[in-house]
Amino acid sequence: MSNILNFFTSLRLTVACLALALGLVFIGTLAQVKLGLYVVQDQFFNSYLIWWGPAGSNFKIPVYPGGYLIGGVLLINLIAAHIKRFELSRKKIGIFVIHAGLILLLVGQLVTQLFQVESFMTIEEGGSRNYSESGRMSELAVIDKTDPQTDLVVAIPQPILQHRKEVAAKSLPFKIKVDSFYDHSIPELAGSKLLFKQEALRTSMNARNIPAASVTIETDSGNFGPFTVSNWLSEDQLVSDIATSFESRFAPNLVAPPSFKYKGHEYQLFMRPIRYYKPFTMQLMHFAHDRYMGTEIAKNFSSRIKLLRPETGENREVLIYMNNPLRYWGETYYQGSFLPNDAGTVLQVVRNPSWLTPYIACALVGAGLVIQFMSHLIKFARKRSAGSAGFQPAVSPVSRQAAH
Amino acid sequence: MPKYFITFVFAGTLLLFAGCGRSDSDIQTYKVAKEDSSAKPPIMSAASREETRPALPRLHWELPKGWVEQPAGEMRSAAFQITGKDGQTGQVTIIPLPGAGQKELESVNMWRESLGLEALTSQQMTEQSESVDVDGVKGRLFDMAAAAPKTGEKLKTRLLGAIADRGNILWFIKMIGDDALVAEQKPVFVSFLKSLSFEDASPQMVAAAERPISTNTKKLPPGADAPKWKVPANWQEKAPGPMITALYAVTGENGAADVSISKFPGDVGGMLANVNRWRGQLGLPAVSEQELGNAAQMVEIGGKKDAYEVDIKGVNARSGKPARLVAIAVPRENETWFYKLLGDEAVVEKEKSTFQQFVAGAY
Repeated sequence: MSNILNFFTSLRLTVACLALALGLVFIGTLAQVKLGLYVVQDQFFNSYLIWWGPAGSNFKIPVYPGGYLIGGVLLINLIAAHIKRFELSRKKIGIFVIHAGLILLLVGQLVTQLFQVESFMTIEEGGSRNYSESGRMSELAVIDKTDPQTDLVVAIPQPILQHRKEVAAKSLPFKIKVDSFYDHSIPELAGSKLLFKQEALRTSMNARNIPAASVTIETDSGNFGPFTVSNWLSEDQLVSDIATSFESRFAPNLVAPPSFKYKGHEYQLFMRPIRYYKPFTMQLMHFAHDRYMGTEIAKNFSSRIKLLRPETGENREVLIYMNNPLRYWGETYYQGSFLPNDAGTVLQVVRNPSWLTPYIACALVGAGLVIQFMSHLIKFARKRSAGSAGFQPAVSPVSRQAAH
Repeated sequence: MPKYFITFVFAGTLLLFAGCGRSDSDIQTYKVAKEDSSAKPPIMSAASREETRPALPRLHWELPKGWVEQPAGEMRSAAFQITGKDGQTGQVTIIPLPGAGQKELESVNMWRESLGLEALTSQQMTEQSESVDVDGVKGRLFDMAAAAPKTGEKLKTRLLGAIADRGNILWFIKMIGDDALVAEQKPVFVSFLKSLSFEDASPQMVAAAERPISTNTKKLPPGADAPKWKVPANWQEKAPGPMITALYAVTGENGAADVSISKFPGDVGGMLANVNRWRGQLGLPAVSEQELGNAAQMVEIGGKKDAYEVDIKGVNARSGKPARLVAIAVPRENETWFYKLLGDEAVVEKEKSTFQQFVAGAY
């Protein structure tokens, strides 16, 4: 037991973890060239082990510790070592505060990685939205349209569709069989049908993958489908791309959402970016794209938003512009992008429950360093002033001679 | 010992957290208010368009000689262009209006108003109509001509409009164009109406959402494997749009250009349509079949001389700036690959040979 404790509290382990972390950042950076940022984040940093296998084979072996493992061990090491050597004394208070800051930084980063949600709210000028959408992940929305006032939505996120053959939800009276799922697809017009062909996953930072799936609705009394669902069919811009590409062969009904009736309820299926609904609505009053006079160089982007929240009676205007985000409802709304022809705004929405921890951690580390250095400085200054009381300056032979 | 225990429990809990999924990997169930169309952006989503449109039948026709199919639009199920002698032109459109049974008179009078003619009463409309056969359904055909050419035009306009009521959908099939051409095309138009057939959407078709209302049911087999290209060192990869396979930026001292690569099933309308689409992108007039030889040249790619190339200058319709376009279309298997070098003239001039080698080297 003491060996284990010695291992976890050793300074060598700290150095090894830091060296491994350096190596991880290095290989992760190199891997981004081929795999792209998001794949590297998932496989290298948000994992315990990095796996490798020969191309075309399912066989894989771990080749390097992942970010969670290195960070986790470092955290254990830091806390354990600190507790082992903890000594409540004024002399060590600086060290204590520095370590507390470092621990908070590590924990805060872990919480950020686990719970941060990034999405985008696209609003055309004059339009309004009460939800933001994921930029990377899609969902299959099974919408019960029966109620004339509200829609009952059962949203099945992409990871479930990717990995499960059959999906059952408590609020659905049927099962959804996933016949096939493509992470990225392109549409093909085969005769009178719009088909989706699987394409290689795009890993570039800016490239988007557009999923498509074939699903069958399995009920007690038989099946509906198979239905083809894809973001190609539900997003305006993608529909517009299809229409442009297929020109006269395109017909609006090609992109109609699959629908069916079961037990007196009318259902529609949509594959769409994951939606995060809010208890408030944002209306875009004006989007401004300011340029430096006489040039096309952008000077500023800003969105004048009307924030409407019926439950609190809020109805106020907010100006969001570069480096001046709106912090509201635990989320931060940044001026992220804009629509072609300045037709609207794209706000980047970040929900990060631990957004304050880096600030607090840095303040703690800074304060700890100041305390530590100041205590040494004061000690040194005291020693020096104490020594100077009986101080006899040494006079060199040369200066003596000069004095004579 | 207890203090170490606390350490391991704390760190272990955090690591367990790391193993847990985040909230967006769970199935969510919630109720939302039906989307308010007034709160939606001006562009209606495809889904919402469909909500207002019942399942429309699939439409088939025999394309008359000399008619060229045009892109269908938001409202139009099909459209055709006709070109006659001395530059006379005409257009044919097919528009379904669900649940518009009472709008016949209103529609006829709208046609008349567009020609500067007085409105008709219901009785007059009946008297002026001819009976016409539209897929076994008796429809009404209206033939009307403007009294004089419109201001600034030399020729009078004539309109042939057929209205067929099929269930709860009223179909408006209209030919409008120069008087002489439309008059000459009337028998062809009547034959075209007879050739129309409506394939009603079955419940399965409605459910499966495979309900095109216009089609030239051409089979488009799956595509071929991608060519292997080698990107020149000075080309910078950019984020491609959804329908673009790859996009590269080329910058020079005197401007910039983009190289885009895309592929589509089939021949995408053929060489004439593609060349004219490229010309349209630079604001140049379309060329005829006879002029095509001068507008584009056939090039040999990968041992086949079925690719074609254009090199044109004009004004970029998107940016409004002068631009040059070198474009190569490479038909392969059952799809066509499009390579475009578009941008400032100086840069395109400098990169042209590199671009051509790039395309040739990919096959």
